[in-house]
Amino acid sequence: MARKNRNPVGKNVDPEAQKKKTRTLTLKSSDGQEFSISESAAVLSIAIENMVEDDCAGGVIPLPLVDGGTLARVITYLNKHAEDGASDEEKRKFDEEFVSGMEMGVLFDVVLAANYLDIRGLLREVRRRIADRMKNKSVEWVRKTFHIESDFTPEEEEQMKKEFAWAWEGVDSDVDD
Amino acid sequence: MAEYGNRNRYSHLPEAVIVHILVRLPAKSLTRFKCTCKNWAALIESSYFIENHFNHEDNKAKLLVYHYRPDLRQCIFTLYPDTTYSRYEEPNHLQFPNTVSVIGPVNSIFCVIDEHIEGIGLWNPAIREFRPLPAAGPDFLSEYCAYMDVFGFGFDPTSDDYKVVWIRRFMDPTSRSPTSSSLISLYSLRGDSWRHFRDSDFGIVVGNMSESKCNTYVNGVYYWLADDVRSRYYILGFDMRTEAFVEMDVPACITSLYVNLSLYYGDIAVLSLEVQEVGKSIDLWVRKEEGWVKQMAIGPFAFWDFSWPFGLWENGELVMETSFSDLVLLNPNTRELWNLHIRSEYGHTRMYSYKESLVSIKKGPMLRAVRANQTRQTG
Repeated sequence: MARKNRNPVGKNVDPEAQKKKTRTLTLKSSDGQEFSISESAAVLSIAIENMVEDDCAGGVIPLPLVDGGTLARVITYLNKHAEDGASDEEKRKFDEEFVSGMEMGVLFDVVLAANYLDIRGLLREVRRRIADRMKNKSVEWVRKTFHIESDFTPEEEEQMKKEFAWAWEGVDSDVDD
Repeated sequence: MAEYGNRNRYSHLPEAVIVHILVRLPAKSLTRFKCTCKNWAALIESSYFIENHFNHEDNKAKLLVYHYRPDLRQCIFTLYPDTTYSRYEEPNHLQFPNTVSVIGPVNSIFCVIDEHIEGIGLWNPAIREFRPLPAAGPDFLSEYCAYMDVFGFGFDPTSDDYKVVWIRRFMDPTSRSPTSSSLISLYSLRGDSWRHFRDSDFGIVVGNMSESKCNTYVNGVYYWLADDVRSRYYILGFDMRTEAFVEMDVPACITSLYVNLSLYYGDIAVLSLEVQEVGKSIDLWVRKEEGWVKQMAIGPFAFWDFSWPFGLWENGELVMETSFSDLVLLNPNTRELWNLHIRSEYGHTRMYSYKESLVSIKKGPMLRAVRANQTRQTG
């Protein structure tokens, strides 16, 4: 199955694009919630676009790996980016605000959904935000957050801390998320 | 996973997603996070990751300027974190206690030469690595006085090796004039040693030459401006791959005495300061495959005066010194001018394009001793 390049939404006047704007799809989350979305917004997800091309359209598209809360957020993003006449600057601002209020746990859920649904712009935005939030965190915080158990011996760990002491300077406390 | 139950409110991320997050982190965070587990350490030290980190769109090149700060009576590095140039930083890890001459960077690695050339070293400030090079020698030279010391630094992609080239002319102690022959010393990081040659070994005669005020290493070749016995400018380059010198004429019509080499979008370029009745202007010549192309004439500027173009910055902006010794950045297309809020005095000023990199220049880095085996990353 060949992947088509996404059409930029907005200035397109071909009848197929017009149809996509009016056609709606239903997305169903893992916990059974259903969401209506215009096809033109939904196909900003390459995974959904492929499902539509494979003729799952018309019916309900089940997304068993995305819960309702996360899907609602993703749909907000897709709708904004499919909006007619939204300028790049407007979208950039929206993206920034969209991720800025999210807790780390929410960012993780959204990055998983964006990865699964193959939404490149959202994926980039969320990865960047997660990196920005974790850059001053402690090693312990990272282990906890990413479900990692250390396989270094305490001696090895001590050795690294000593060797690269400068990298441990100015680390945030772990209290916020 | 069951053992974590619901106590951890964070979803498990697939490894591919984690890699794409980590690759956006600063070198300092990554150095710390190597301690997370052996898998992460192996990932962060892998050449694949190092390359992707270096080339990542979020790892932007920043303007770095080395200059003399009169109040401190010392030269310091000033870093401009963004392209508004409205604020700057003087990060501790970019400073040296004494005055140094710094060339590069190549893959974010600098070659540092101390003021009296008693020591030369390679430096990757992002991961706080400094590697002193072995003494160059040869020993018999001690009775000769230096007349000219010029350096070049580059990377040989064919052997994955960093090389320093040092061109020296001496005063003959008896005749008290410069020696006719030059000594050319070549250091290779892989061999961690120097080799010595005469200029005649390369079939060239080295006259006077100088390093530029900005990086002039591109595509395996380090370039200098030189002048021949008839005091005409030409360009000398050292190819790090073939270890041979290349010579190139400057554009024939350049008559200015104020000429500087720079890079323009990956090509070697010549900046020449032309003094006209109406004011000074700068001609920018770029070396293309077909020869020299006059890219643009900037100016003439009637209302303000400048004394020297240091080089070109990322988008073709010029870094220049005004006649009041202020350093400014000029966009030649829009004529927009930014004051960099620093002074340029005593001839130490140099500009660099600085990006972080994780490339290690140390022998057997510490973490290699605890190299990861392919064990699980829980979850």
